[in-house]
Amino acid sequence: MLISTITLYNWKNFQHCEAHLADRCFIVGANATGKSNLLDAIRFLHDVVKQGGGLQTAVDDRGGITRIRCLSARKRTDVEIGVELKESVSGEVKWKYVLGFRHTGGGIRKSQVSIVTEQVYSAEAGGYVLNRSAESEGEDEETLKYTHLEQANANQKFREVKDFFLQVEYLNIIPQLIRESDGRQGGKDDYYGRGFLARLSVLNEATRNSYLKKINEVVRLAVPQLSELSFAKDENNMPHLEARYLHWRAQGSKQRETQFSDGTLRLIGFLFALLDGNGVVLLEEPEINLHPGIVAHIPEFIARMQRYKNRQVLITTHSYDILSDAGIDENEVLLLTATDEGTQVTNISNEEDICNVLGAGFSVADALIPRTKPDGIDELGTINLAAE
Amino acid sequence: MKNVYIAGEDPVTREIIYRLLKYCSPDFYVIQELPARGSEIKNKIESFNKLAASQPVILLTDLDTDDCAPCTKRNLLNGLVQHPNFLINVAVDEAEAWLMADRVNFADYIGVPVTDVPQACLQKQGGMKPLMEVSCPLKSSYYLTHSIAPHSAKEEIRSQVAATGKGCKGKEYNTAMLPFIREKWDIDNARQHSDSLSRMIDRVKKI
Repeated sequence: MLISTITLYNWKNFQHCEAHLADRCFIVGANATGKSNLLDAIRFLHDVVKQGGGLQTAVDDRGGITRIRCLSARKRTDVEIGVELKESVSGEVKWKYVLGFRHTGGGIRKSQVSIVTEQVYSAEAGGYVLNRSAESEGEDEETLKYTHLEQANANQKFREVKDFFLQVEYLNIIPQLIRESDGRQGGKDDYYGRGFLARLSVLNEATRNSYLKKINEVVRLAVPQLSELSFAKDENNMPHLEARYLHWRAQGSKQRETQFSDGTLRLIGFLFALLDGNGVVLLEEPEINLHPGIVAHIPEFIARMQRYKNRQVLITTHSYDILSDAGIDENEVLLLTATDEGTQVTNISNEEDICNVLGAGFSVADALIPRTKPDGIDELGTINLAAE
Repeated sequence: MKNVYIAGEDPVTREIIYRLLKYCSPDFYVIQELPARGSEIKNKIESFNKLAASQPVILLTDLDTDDCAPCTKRNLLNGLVQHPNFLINVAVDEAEAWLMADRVNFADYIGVPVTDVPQACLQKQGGMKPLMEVSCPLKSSYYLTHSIAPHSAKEEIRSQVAATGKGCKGKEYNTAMLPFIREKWDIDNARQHSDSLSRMIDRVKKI
């Protein structure tokens, strides 16, 4: 399944937005327009259903509802996330899930959130299989603290939706964190790679070897000096990545992840995120640390992966090289634009001016990178950097 | 509102286009800047031309090694029929020469005697009629960064604009030149001394 539409009310940068997502979707916008926050709405639903998660934890992890609510919000004080799920982009909507919540408590009572609405529509059932609010029968202050989505005894009728959110994969490898990890920290929800090695170590050996074989093939082309990438445990049973660094000695020498370059670690992490699991993959600026020559291949690489693995990939990017790929069509690109009323999300296929530029033969990069450049950035050089 | 696309090779060229649009009419609105780095103009000329069918496209490029502006246009178009909304403008010999054409203000901004800035004179170009253009002994940006700016009385201009290597410009060249274009450049005066600039203004005014 994939997320075909996401609707947000009062979510971080977005006062209200509705975005239609392709199975490969590039999210483009200037800095601070909310690219990561758009992905975070999907991560939020994952956090609600994950082990040890839940609505209250997902909100707390983000610093409370005041950090979630849109700064440019007007009257509405509640937050709402809605998604539509399909089996394929061209298919019919199979599920709709809507979750709305608002602040409760304060003073001597603990600040929490209370559900305003939780709805699940099932195409198979031909209607809503869940439609709850504060007015629903049997609901009280306590029950409204928990979504039915996160409760196994309440989500039987839409377990598929819960499993879908559970499989959402977000990985934004920070090489320094992998190097500094002791191999034990992190877990399934380690977003920044601190427990990347631990995740590798808990994989079934055959699966791990299969992933490493594929990763090796790419690394061999991107970093020709490195070969034989493998998994190993040290004398203290700590997991490591090892590879052979080729040089003038016939056998080269062994290197561990602490000696890998930032780009190599990012590349390995990016490939691992695509290979591991079956859920939606959220990729945060995959171009970081990588040579433009490698980055330019990312769109095709994802498309090739999607041919044999029905897996949606949502990518935030500023990269000219990624967006120059001639295979990216206008339906695959969301443009985020900051306005006084919060960020607007547009599918560029609905923008006549942009379609004219694309129709004339320019790439998505040609059409969008100049648009997302801050207007006054050329004045950067006029700032007085001397100490007062 | 007159919507246009613009394409310039570098920040100086793009800033000149913006300033000229403002000079010609307050109604211009730039839909977006189009990529025009180096060989991109030639590679994407068909796309520029095609896009002009939807809204005017204003391109500003340098004469560089060509003999005359019509030669540059011919080379760029390479047999393509130019759409009437595709305005190809060629600065003779470079956009910097258009800035120097406002000689007194330019000398004052750069901090050199006015006699250090090349004068305009009638020059034989491709056509029958000689054209008034700034006559630089070298390519104008090269002459500015290698011969004029190093003698500036302003320490800041010397460090920003004067080249430190053979083929390069000053380390903060754009930062130094953009304010001149925005605030000091007298277009009325400059166009008296540069026919190629004057022709671009006439073309833009006709949009």
